[in-house]
Amino acid sequence: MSRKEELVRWLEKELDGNFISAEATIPGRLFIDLKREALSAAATGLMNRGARYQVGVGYDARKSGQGFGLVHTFAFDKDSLLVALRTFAPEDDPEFDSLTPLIPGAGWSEREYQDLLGLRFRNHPNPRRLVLSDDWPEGIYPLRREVPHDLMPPAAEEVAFRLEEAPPGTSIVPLGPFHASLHEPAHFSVYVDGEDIKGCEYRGFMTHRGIEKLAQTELTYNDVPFVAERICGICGSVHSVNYAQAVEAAAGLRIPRRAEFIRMVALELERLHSHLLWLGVAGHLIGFDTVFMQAWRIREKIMWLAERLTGNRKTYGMVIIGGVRRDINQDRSEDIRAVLKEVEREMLALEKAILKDRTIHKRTRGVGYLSREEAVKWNLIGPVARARGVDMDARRDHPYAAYDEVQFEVPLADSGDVWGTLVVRVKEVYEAIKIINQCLDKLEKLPKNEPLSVDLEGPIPAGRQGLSLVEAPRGEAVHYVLTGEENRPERWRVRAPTYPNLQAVPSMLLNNKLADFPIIVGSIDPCISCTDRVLVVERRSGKARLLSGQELENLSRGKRSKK
Amino acid sequence: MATVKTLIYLIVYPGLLFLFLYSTFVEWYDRKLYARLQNRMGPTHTGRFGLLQPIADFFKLMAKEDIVPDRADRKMFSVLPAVGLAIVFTAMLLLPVWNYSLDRPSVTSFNGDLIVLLYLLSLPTFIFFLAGWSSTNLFSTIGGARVLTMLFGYEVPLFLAVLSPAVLANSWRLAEIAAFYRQRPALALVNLLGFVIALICVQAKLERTPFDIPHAETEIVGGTFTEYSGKKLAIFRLMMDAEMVVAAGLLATVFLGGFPGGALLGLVNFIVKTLVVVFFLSLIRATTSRIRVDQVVSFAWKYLAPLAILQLLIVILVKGLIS
Repeated sequence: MSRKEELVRWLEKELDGNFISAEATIPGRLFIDLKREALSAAATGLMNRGARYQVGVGYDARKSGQGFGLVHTFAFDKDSLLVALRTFAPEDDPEFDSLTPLIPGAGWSEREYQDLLGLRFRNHPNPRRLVLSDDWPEGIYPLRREVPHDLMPPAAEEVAFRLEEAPPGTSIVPLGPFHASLHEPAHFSVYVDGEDIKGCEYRGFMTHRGIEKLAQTELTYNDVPFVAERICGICGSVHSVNYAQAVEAAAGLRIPRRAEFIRMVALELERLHSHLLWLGVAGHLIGFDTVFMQAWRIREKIMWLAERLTGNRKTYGMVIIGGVRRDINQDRSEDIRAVLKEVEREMLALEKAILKDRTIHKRTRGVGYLSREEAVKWNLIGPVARARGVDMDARRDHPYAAYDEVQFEVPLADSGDVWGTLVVRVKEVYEAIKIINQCLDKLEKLPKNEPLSVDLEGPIPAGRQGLSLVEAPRGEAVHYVLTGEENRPERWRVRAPTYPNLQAVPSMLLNNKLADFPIIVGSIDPCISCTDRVLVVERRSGKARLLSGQELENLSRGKRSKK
Repeated sequence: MATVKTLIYLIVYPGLLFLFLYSTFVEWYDRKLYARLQNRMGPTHTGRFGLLQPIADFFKLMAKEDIVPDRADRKMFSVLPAVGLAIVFTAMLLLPVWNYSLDRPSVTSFNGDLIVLLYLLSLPTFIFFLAGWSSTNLFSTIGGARVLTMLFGYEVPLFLAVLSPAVLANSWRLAEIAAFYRQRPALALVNLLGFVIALICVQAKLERTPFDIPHAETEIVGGTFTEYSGKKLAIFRLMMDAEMVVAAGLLATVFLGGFPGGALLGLVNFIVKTLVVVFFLSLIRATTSRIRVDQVVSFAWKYLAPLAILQLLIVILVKGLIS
């Protein structure tokens, strides 16, 4: 009996009348509908069977008379199975049981829907605002249908930026929203006793761009991949491929083989340049600028290559629903091989220099330690989890595109510290090179004139669910799509890898030195723009106005002459 | 005549003007070398090979808005850069650059000038601490505390390492120490260990990677200098450059035989030898990552201090053998 059947049978029996239906149209996916009373019991059961919590998705289903929907997704990595539990709550009583006491990693998802949809979670240990700013007026829930995507309400009055009190005996060092070691806005208020970190509070979600809301109100299915690419400043293809896969799964579309391999090449190229970027940034964070310069010099070759392949260094614009837009022909394929060969050679030299450097050992070993158990408890993913000995990789465990046809290793480390994440990332660079070379081999053997994309055979029926994973450089990214009417998704949820990893950062920081703060936060390779993706509007005092260069100059001069 | 000579000594060479120009040159040299070690170009734009870049930077900063934080100790905050610069420039006068000759000693060469020089080189560290402290900024305060913590680590090994050659030369006077090793170059090799220790300690004193902890950009932004801007920052930067020259000059005097040969040849000697020292300092900067302040102290007391004492023992033994 497969895991899937076993789960369905157990849920039917255990939940009795609270079980509504199970849908398993695609291999590796299981969509279950429950009554909300049974949510907690079902989640407990899944966790006891070894599931890994992924993300919560809330949506406004009042149009169909179902109130508010809430989906929690779980992964069984050993069985290549993803399970989505969906429940509904009526509009006048949008309350669910909180899963956070059971699964700490669910805390953010629940707080997010508390802010955005006005859902309530019984027994949530920390029901404070997460996504919305403190001066966002009460009672406006941006993700609800009736709220327009460009709403700019006046700020609530007399509300200040709220932070928790520092524990006795400590003082607060504010790091962020603007700080030299953060490349994107996030606020950490770090409680220190001398140089020792005794705790930390994170406030983020400062760059809301309303991308999910936009997809539900303004864009069409085929527009979204290009917006999705702009979620992240590093890994654009991750989100566009992931979204396309989710829609394709919902629509039952099978893309051409050639397109699968081309998507893989794009994804792995991103992993290459992302890991090299991280290596450089990590070097900079511990004050080793030579590593920074050398890693970015190597990375630059890949950026040039990406431009040659796609026309852009970033935001490749390659992915559409049903396939890709550009081919990788024989010439390009040779270009790639040449660059990869060079990158591999230079990477070996850099690796030798880094792995043997005593000062790097001093700064990374034992720093930001988190045990394997903690890593599992917080649902850590990607290199951050693999550095703690958690053997997981969406490419292997839940193969998408054609990852089941290529051979690669999943590098692991068991040191549980920043050093481990460094080793894992360095090794992954070679695996990515290996994968790209295999993809090119396969591409060269495939027929040349095959179309690169297939068209949909008609509108996608509304109400279908699609769930997709992509192993981004930072870990697994989850996209959930619920198809809707008017040629656009009813709900599209992006869960970037930083979302779970960032939740565990306070645990990693505990009892480390303040000097190690940058590299510990850096070790998860935080991508704040991915994490902050949701919401509606940037807050502005009045109307935005474009200033010409001359006006800007006058303004800055005016300020100076005033003094 | 003597007055004119002293004035020239103070203002032109090796005093203000020379030290200013040479400090900026050494900054350029350090930046260029560091950049080339990282496959970068370094300064290229201002002047030939970017030689004038540090001077351009200096004057640019001088012209920038100069802000004193409201809560800072205004007097202290403003006076510190000038005092620091004065101290470092005074220290430069003690180096036996022109007054190398023992027959015609000038006022700044006296028995014990080595100790005075070391003392003058310690003062900038306190200036940095006070600068951080008087800014009242959190990052500055942390930076200031780190400055002092580091001082406890490197100061003793530095003193021990620099005093060893003096013990062997049997003099506390820089000109005499240099002359001693010029006469017996082989004996300079005895101090090799001390030279390495002193290099590392000077790197720490100058707060350069791996010891750039008090102003670790990614941790505490500008550290001690977070609140400094405009003229005051420009003077601090010049002070650090000049401190590098003086420290390199000190090492060149006690370990590399000083700068013989009169005004012109002495100048060449001075430039070559200090550049050699700065070369090593740049090399260290390019090949290490920043370590933590607790690691500095434990490193200094576990390795540097015992090795410095070992060096002193070697020197005493050698001294017994040759006498």
